[in-house]
Amino acid sequence: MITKRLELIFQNAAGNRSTLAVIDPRENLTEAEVRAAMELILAKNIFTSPGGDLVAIVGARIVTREVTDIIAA
Amino acid sequence: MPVVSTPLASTLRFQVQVGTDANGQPVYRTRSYSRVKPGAADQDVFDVAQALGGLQVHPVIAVSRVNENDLSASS
Repeated sequence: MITKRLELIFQNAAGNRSTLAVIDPRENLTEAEVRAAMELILAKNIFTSPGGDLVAIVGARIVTREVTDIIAA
Repeated sequence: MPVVSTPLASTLRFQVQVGTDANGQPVYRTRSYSRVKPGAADQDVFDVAQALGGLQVHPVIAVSRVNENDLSASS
């Protein structure tokens, strides 16, 4: 079974990376759309992290994970 | 005794409909984002929920916010 998640990677005030994950991202996402959502998150500034506020966009990526059962649970 | 309530933490949750079961009933899943600032405005939390919901495939059914407060007796 294949699962996908979109990882939104931000930099926080301490200079570390902080990631927000979106499970089951849409297939037809555009860079502009993802960037707009990330900029909204920065503008609203509702999230905090161990290293302080989120301050900048580092990147975004889709992570695909495939699980193959050998012995089904 | 009067109690002082201090906001500790806040979590954003939205419920999505991921499909329907064998009987045609909707199947829901909850997506949670912790580390919401306790002082963040509800409008801002809602707007971010809409933006995050718009990036994924399933329809967003409900947006909620869970607040945790510390209760202590005032001196």
